[in-house]
Amino acid sequence: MESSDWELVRRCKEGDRQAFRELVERYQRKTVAIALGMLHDREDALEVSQEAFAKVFTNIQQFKEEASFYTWLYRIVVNLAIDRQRQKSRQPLLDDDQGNGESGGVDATPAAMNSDPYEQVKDKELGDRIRMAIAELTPAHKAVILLREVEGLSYEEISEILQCSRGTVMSRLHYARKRLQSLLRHDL
Amino acid sequence: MNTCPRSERVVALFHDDELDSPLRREVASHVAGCVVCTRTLAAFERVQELVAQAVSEQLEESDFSNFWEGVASRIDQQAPPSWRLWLQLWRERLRPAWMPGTPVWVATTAALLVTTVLVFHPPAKDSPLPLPDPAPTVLAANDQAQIESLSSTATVFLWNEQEGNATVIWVGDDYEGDRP
Repeated sequence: MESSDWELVRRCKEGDRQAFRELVERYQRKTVAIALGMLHDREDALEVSQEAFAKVFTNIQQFKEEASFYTWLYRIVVNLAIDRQRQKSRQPLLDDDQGNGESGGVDATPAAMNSDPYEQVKDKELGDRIRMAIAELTPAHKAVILLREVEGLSYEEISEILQCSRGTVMSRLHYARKRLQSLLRHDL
Repeated sequence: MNTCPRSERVVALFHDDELDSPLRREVASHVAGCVVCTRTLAAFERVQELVAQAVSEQLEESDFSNFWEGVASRIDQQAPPSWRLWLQLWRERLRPAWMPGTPVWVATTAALLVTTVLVFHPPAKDSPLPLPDPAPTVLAANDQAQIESLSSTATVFLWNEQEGNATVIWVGDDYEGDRP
Protein backbone atom coordinates (compact mmCIF):
# COMPACT_ATOMS: atom_id res chain seq x y z
CA MET A 1 0.00 0.00 0.00
CA GLU A 2 1.26 3.48 -0.90
CA SER A 3 2.26 5.63 2.08
CA SER A 4 0.53 8.99 2.49
CA ASP A 5 2.46 12.24 2.10
CA TRP A 6 2.18 12.72 5.87
CA GLU A 7 3.70 9.37 6.63
CA LEU A 8 6.59 10.00 4.25
CA VAL A 9 7.15 13.51 5.64
CA ARG A 10 7.21 12.09 9.17
CA ARG A 11 9.86 9.58 8.14
CA CYS A 12 11.85 12.31 6.34
CA LYS A 13 11.90 14.29 9.58
CA GLU A 14 13.70 11.35 11.14
CA GLY A 15 16.30 11.54 8.38
CA ASP A 16 14.92 8.70 6.21
CA ARG A 17 16.20 9.45 2.70
CA GLN A 18 14.36 6.54 1.14
CA ALA A 19 11.06 8.08 2.26
CA PHE A 20 12.13 11.35 0.69
CA ARG A 21 13.00 9.55 -2.53
CA GLU A 22 9.42 8.24 -2.64
CA LEU A 23 8.11 11.79 -2.28
CA VAL A 24 10.44 12.97 -5.04
CA GLU A 25 9.29 10.21 -7.39
CA ARG A 26 5.67 10.99 -6.57
CA TYR A 27 5.95 14.70 -7.40
CA GLN A 28 8.87 15.05 -9.82
CA ARG A 29 6.75 15.16 -12.99
CA LYS A 30 4.32 17.67 -11.51
CA THR A 31 7.06 20.02 -10.31
CA VAL A 32 8.91 19.81 -13.62
CA ALA A 33 5.63 20.52 -15.46
CA ILE A 34 5.14 23.73 -13.45
CA ALA A 35 8.77 24.78 -13.93
CA LEU A 36 8.58 23.98 -17.66
CA GLY A 37 5.49 26.13 -18.05
CA MET A 38 7.23 28.96 -16.22
CA LEU A 39 10.66 28.71 -17.86
CA HIS A 40 10.09 27.00 -21.26
CA ASP A 41 13.45 25.25 -20.96
CA ARG A 42 13.82 21.61 -20.00
CA GLU A 43 17.27 21.87 -18.43
CA ASP A 44 16.28 24.88 -16.34
CA ALA A 45 13.02 23.18 -15.32
CA LEU A 46 14.83 20.03 -14.19
CA GLU A 47 17.40 22.04 -12.24
CA VAL A 48 14.81 24.23 -10.55
CA SER A 49 12.77 21.18 -9.54
CA GLN A 50 15.80 19.40 -8.12
CA GLU A 51 16.76 22.53 -6.23
CA ALA A 52 13.23 22.78 -4.84
CA PHE A 53 13.30 19.19 -3.58
CA ALA A 54 16.71 19.74 -1.99
CA LYS A 55 15.35 22.83 -0.21
CA VAL A 56 12.34 20.86 0.96
CA PHE A 57 14.54 18.13 2.44
CA THR A 58 16.87 20.60 4.14
CA ASN A 59 13.93 22.47 5.71
CA ILE A 60 11.66 19.51 6.35
CA GLN A 61 11.86 19.99 10.14
CA GLN A 62 10.20 23.40 9.76
CA PHE A 63 7.28 21.98 7.78
CA LYS A 64 4.13 22.26 9.87
CA GLU A 65 1.66 19.46 9.57
CA GLU A 66 -1.41 21.68 9.19
CA ALA A 67 -0.34 22.56 5.62
CA SER A 68 -0.34 20.12 2.74
CA PHE A 69 3.01 18.92 1.47
CA TYR A 70 2.44 19.56 -2.19
CA THR A 71 1.27 23.17 -1.75
CA TRP A 72 4.49 23.84 0.15
CA LEU A 73 6.54 22.10 -2.53
CA TYR A 74 4.80 23.90 -5.40
CA ARG A 75 5.30 27.26 -3.67
CA ILE A 76 9.05 26.63 -3.55
CA VAL A 77 9.07 25.55 -7.21
CA VAL A 78 7.15 28.65 -8.33
CA ASN A 79 9.39 30.99 -6.33
CA LEU A 80 12.59 29.37 -7.61
CA ALA A 81 11.27 29.47 -11.18
CA ILE A 82 10.49 33.18 -10.84
CA ASP A 83 14.00 33.78 -9.45
CA ARG A 84 15.54 31.78 -12.30
CA GLN A 85 13.54 33.73 -14.85
CA ARG A 86 14.72 37.03 -13.33
CA GLN A 87 18.33 35.86 -13.43
CA LYS A 88 18.00 34.81 -17.06
CA SER A 89 16.35 38.04 -18.09
CA ARG A 90 19.39 39.90 -16.73
CA GLN A 91 21.79 37.74 -18.77
CA PRO A 92 22.52 38.77 -22.36
CA LEU A 93 21.66 36.18 -25.00
CA LEU A 94 24.90 34.54 -26.10
CA ASP A 95 23.53 32.13 -28.70
CA ASP A 96 21.04 32.62 -31.44
CA ASP A 97 18.74 29.74 -30.63
CA GLN A 98 15.67 31.77 -29.73
CA GLY A 99 12.75 31.06 -31.97
CA ASN A 100 14.47 28.65 -34.36
CA GLY A 101 13.14 25.56 -32.62
CA GLU A 102 16.59 24.32 -31.57
CA SER A 103 16.53 25.40 -27.93
CA GLY A 104 15.83 22.84 -25.20
CA GLY A 105 12.37 24.18 -24.53
CA VAL A 106 10.49 24.47 -27.76
CA ASP A 107 10.85 21.39 -29.89
CA ALA A 108 7.81 19.16 -29.99
CA THR A 109 7.69 15.48 -29.18
CA PRO A 110 7.72 13.24 -32.22
CA ALA A 111 5.93 10.48 -30.35
CA ALA A 112 3.12 12.78 -29.31
CA MET A 113 2.59 14.18 -32.78
CA ASN A 114 0.48 13.14 -35.68
CA SER A 115 2.06 10.67 -38.15
CA ASP A 116 1.13 12.82 -41.17
CA PRO A 117 4.15 15.12 -41.90
CA TYR A 118 1.87 18.07 -42.68
CA GLU A 119 -0.03 17.56 -39.45
CA GLN A 120 3.28 17.19 -37.60
CA VAL A 121 4.40 20.62 -38.79
CA LYS A 122 1.02 22.09 -37.89
CA ASP A 123 1.17 20.51 -34.42
CA LYS A 124 4.67 21.80 -33.89
CA GLU A 125 3.71 25.29 -34.97
CA LEU A 126 0.70 25.25 -32.69
CA GLY A 127 2.84 24.02 -29.78
CA ASP A 128 5.32 26.83 -30.42
CA ARG A 129 2.54 29.42 -30.58
CA ILE A 130 1.07 28.23 -27.28
CA ARG A 131 4.45 28.30 -25.56
CA MET A 132 5.16 31.77 -26.93
CA ALA A 133 1.74 32.93 -25.73
CA ILE A 134 2.38 31.54 -22.24
CA ALA A 135 5.80 33.22 -22.27
CA GLU A 136 4.06 36.54 -22.87
CA LEU A 137 2.33 36.35 -19.49
CA THR A 138 3.79 37.82 -16.32
CA PRO A 139 5.25 35.30 -13.84
CA ALA A 140 2.24 35.70 -11.53
CA HIS A 141 -0.21 35.04 -14.37
CA LYS A 142 1.84 32.14 -15.68
CA ALA A 143 1.89 30.53 -12.24
CA VAL A 144 -1.85 30.83 -11.75
CA ILE A 145 -2.75 29.47 -15.20
CA LEU A 146 -0.34 26.54 -14.90
CA LEU A 147 -1.50 25.57 -11.43
CA ARG A 148 -5.10 25.67 -12.60
CA GLU A 149 -4.96 24.29 -16.15
CA VAL A 150 -2.07 21.84 -15.85
CA GLU A 151 -2.23 20.74 -12.22
CA GLY A 152 -5.99 21.19 -11.88
CA LEU A 153 -5.72 22.79 -8.43
CA SER A 154 -8.60 24.60 -6.75
CA TYR A 155 -8.58 28.37 -6.18
CA GLU A 156 -8.04 27.69 -2.48
CA GLU A 157 -4.95 25.59 -3.12
CA ILE A 158 -3.58 28.12 -5.61
CA SER A 159 -4.10 30.95 -3.12
CA GLU A 160 -2.19 28.91 -0.52
CA ILE A 161 0.69 28.28 -2.93
CA LEU A 162 0.94 31.84 -4.20
CA GLN A 163 0.13 33.29 -0.78
CA CYS A 164 -2.55 35.61 -2.07
CA SER A 165 -6.32 35.85 -1.64
CA ARG A 166 -8.85 33.75 -3.52
CA GLY A 167 -10.07 36.94 -5.19
CA THR A 168 -6.56 37.65 -6.48
CA VAL A 169 -6.39 34.12 -7.89
CA MET A 170 -9.71 34.64 -9.70
CA SER A 171 -8.62 38.00 -11.02
CA ARG A 172 -5.22 36.76 -12.26
CA LEU A 173 -6.81 33.71 -13.84
CA HIS A 174 -9.35 35.87 -15.62
CA TYR A 175 -6.65 38.19 -16.97
CA ALA A 176 -4.36 35.31 -18.00
CA ARG A 177 -7.17 33.56 -19.87
CA LYS A 178 -8.21 36.73 -21.67
CA ARG A 179 -4.60 37.35 -22.68
CA LEU A 180 -4.15 33.78 -23.95
CA GLN A 181 -7.47 33.93 -25.81
CA SER A 182 -6.32 37.11 -27.47
CA LEU A 183 -2.87 35.73 -28.38
CA LEU A 184 -4.28 32.40 -29.61
CA ARG A 185 -7.44 33.76 -31.23
CA HIS A 186 -6.70 31.98 -34.52
CA ASP A 187 -6.37 28.63 -32.76
CA LEU A 188 -9.51 28.79 -30.62
CA MET B 1 -22.82 41.13 -31.33
CA ASN B 2 -24.60 38.71 -28.99
CA THR B 3 -24.33 39.43 -25.29
CA CYS B 4 -25.43 37.64 -22.16
CA PRO B 5 -26.25 39.14 -18.76
CA ARG B 6 -24.53 36.18 -17.10
CA SER B 7 -21.01 37.27 -16.16
CA GLU B 8 -18.12 35.60 -17.92
CA ARG B 9 -16.55 35.17 -14.48
CA VAL B 10 -19.46 32.99 -13.39
CA VAL B 11 -18.85 30.79 -16.42
CA ALA B 12 -15.17 30.64 -15.41
CA LEU B 13 -16.18 29.56 -11.89
CA PHE B 14 -18.44 26.93 -13.43
CA HIS B 15 -15.62 25.72 -15.68
CA ASP B 16 -13.23 25.54 -12.72
CA ASP B 17 -15.76 23.66 -10.57
CA GLU B 18 -15.75 26.42 -7.98
CA LEU B 19 -19.53 26.82 -7.59
CA ASP B 20 -21.59 25.12 -4.92
CA SER B 21 -24.24 22.65 -6.00
CA PRO B 22 -27.42 24.77 -6.37
CA LEU B 23 -25.65 27.53 -8.30
CA ARG B 24 -23.72 25.01 -10.33
CA ARG B 25 -26.96 23.37 -11.50
CA GLU B 26 -28.45 26.76 -12.34
CA VAL B 27 -25.40 27.86 -14.38
CA ALA B 28 -25.22 24.47 -16.14
CA SER B 29 -28.82 24.83 -17.19
CA HIS B 30 -28.21 28.42 -18.37
CA VAL B 31 -25.08 27.54 -20.35
CA ALA B 32 -26.87 24.69 -22.09
CA GLY B 33 -29.37 27.15 -23.55
CA CYS B 34 -27.14 30.21 -24.10
CA VAL B 35 -25.03 30.50 -27.26
CA VAL B 36 -22.75 33.19 -25.79
CA CYS B 37 -21.97 31.29 -22.58
CA THR B 38 -21.53 28.02 -24.51
CA ARG B 39 -18.94 29.78 -26.66
CA THR B 40 -17.24 31.30 -23.60
CA LEU B 41 -17.08 27.90 -21.92
CA ALA B 42 -15.72 26.30 -25.10
CA ALA B 43 -12.99 28.97 -25.25
CA PHE B 44 -12.00 28.24 -21.63
CA GLU B 45 -11.88 24.52 -22.39
CA ARG B 46 -9.77 25.06 -25.49
CA VAL B 47 -7.26 27.27 -23.62
CA GLN B 48 -6.98 24.60 -20.94
CA GLU B 49 -6.45 21.91 -23.55
CA LEU B 50 -3.77 23.89 -25.40
CA VAL B 51 -1.85 24.87 -22.25
CA ALA B 52 -1.92 21.32 -20.90
CA GLN B 53 -0.85 19.96 -24.30
CA ALA B 54 2.06 22.39 -24.63
CA VAL B 55 3.43 21.50 -21.19
CA SER B 56 2.80 17.79 -21.64
CA GLU B 57 4.76 17.73 -24.93
CA GLN B 58 7.80 19.25 -23.25
CA LEU B 59 7.39 17.00 -20.24
CA GLU B 60 7.46 13.87 -22.41
CA GLU B 61 10.87 14.89 -23.71
CA SER B 62 12.31 15.42 -20.23
CA ASP B 63 14.72 12.81 -18.92
CA PHE B 64 13.93 11.76 -15.34
CA SER B 65 16.43 8.89 -15.22
CA ASN B 66 18.93 10.82 -13.07
CA PHE B 67 16.47 13.08 -11.33
CA TRP B 68 16.87 11.58 -7.86
CA GLU B 69 20.68 11.57 -8.15
CA GLY B 70 20.55 15.30 -8.91
CA VAL B 71 18.36 15.94 -5.88
CA ALA B 72 20.57 13.82 -3.61
CA SER B 73 23.73 15.60 -4.73
CA ARG B 74 22.12 18.99 -4.08
CA ILE B 75 21.03 17.83 -0.63
CA ASP B 76 24.60 16.81 0.16
CA GLN B 77 25.89 20.17 -1.02
CA GLN B 78 23.53 22.19 1.15
CA ALA B 79 23.38 19.84 4.15
CA PRO B 80 23.80 21.61 7.49
CA PRO B 81 26.57 20.37 9.81
CA SER B 82 25.76 17.12 11.57
CA TRP B 83 25.65 18.78 15.02
CA ARG B 84 22.76 20.94 13.81
CA LEU B 85 20.87 17.88 12.57
CA TRP B 86 21.33 16.22 15.94
CA LEU B 87 20.14 19.38 17.68
CA GLN B 88 17.05 19.48 15.44
CA LEU B 89 16.39 15.80 16.05
CA TRP B 90 16.76 16.37 19.79
CA ARG B 91 14.36 19.32 19.74
CA GLU B 92 11.76 17.72 17.51
CA ARG B 93 11.81 14.07 18.49
CA LEU B 94 14.01 13.03 21.38
CA ARG B 95 13.58 15.73 24.02
CA PRO B 96 11.25 14.49 26.78
CA ALA B 97 8.21 16.68 27.43
CA TRP B 98 9.29 17.50 31.00
CA MET B 99 12.64 18.87 29.86
CA PRO B 100 12.79 22.62 29.24
CA GLY B 101 13.51 24.04 25.79
CA THR B 102 17.01 24.75 24.49
CA PRO B 103 17.52 28.32 25.83
CA VAL B 104 16.64 27.28 29.41
CA TRP B 105 18.69 24.12 29.07
CA VAL B 106 21.72 25.99 27.77
CA ALA B 107 21.42 28.67 30.46
CA THR B 108 21.16 26.02 33.21
CA THR B 109 24.20 24.14 31.90
CA ALA B 110 26.21 27.36 31.63
CA ALA B 111 25.27 28.32 35.20
CA LEU B 112 26.31 24.88 36.46
CA LEU B 113 29.65 25.13 34.67
CA VAL B 114 30.38 28.57 36.12
CA THR B 115 29.46 27.37 39.63
CA THR B 116 31.72 24.33 39.25
CA VAL B 117 34.64 26.47 38.13
CA LEU B 118 34.11 28.91 41.01
CA VAL B 119 33.92 26.08 43.59
CA PHE B 120 37.08 24.32 42.44
CA HIS B 121 39.10 27.39 41.39
CA PRO B 122 37.96 30.32 43.56
CA PRO B 123 39.71 33.59 42.76
CA ALA B 124 42.37 34.69 45.27
CA LYS B 125 40.84 37.24 47.65
CA ASP B 126 43.77 39.66 47.45
CA SER B 127 44.33 39.44 43.73
CA PRO B 128 44.04 42.85 42.11
CA LEU B 129 41.76 43.55 39.23
CA PRO B 130 43.51 42.97 35.93
CA LEU B 131 45.15 46.19 34.85
CA PRO B 132 47.71 46.98 32.21
CA ASP B 133 50.88 45.45 33.66
CA PRO B 134 53.66 47.71 32.57
CA ALA B 135 53.34 51.42 32.85
CA PRO B 136 53.12 52.92 29.41
CA THR B 137 56.05 54.73 27.99
CA VAL B 138 55.33 58.43 27.82
CA LEU B 139 56.38 59.72 24.44
CA ALA B 140 55.38 63.36 24.83
CA ALA B 141 55.90 65.05 28.21
CA ASN B 142 54.38 68.41 27.48
CA ASP B 143 50.65 69.11 27.32
CA GLN B 144 50.80 70.81 23.95
CA ALA B 145 51.15 67.65 21.83
CA GLN B 146 49.15 67.63 18.64
CA ILE B 147 48.38 64.77 16.30
CA GLU B 148 48.84 66.00 12.78
CA SER B 149 47.89 62.83 11.00
CA LEU B 150 46.93 59.29 11.93
CA SER B 151 46.97 56.26 9.65
CA SER B 152 44.12 53.73 9.60
CA THR B 153 46.33 51.16 11.34
CA ALA B 154 47.28 53.48 14.19
CA THR B 155 46.26 52.73 17.77
CA VAL B 156 45.27 55.29 20.37
CA PHE B 157 45.31 54.42 24.07
CA LEU B 158 43.97 56.48 26.91
CA TRP B 159 45.50 55.78 30.30
CA ASN B 160 44.26 57.49 33.41
CA GLU B 161 46.70 57.48 36.34
CA GLN B 162 44.71 58.19 39.49
CA GLU B 163 47.62 58.71 41.87
CA GLY B 164 49.29 61.40 39.85
CA ASN B 165 45.98 62.79 38.63
CA ALA B 166 47.29 62.55 35.07
CA THR B 167 45.89 61.28 31.84
CA VAL B 168 48.20 59.89 29.18
CA ILE B 169 47.16 59.67 25.55
CA TRP B 170 49.32 57.26 23.62
CA VAL B 171 49.31 57.26 19.85
CA GLY B 172 51.09 54.35 18.16
CA ASP B 173 51.35 54.33 14.39
CA ASP B 174 52.96 50.91 14.03
CA TYR B 175 51.63 49.25 17.13
CA GLU B 176 51.26 45.45 16.94
CA GLY B 177 50.75 44.29 20.55
CA ASP B 178 47.60 43.86 22.62
CA ARG B 179 48.11 46.50 25.23
CA PRO B 180 50.51 49.36 25.93
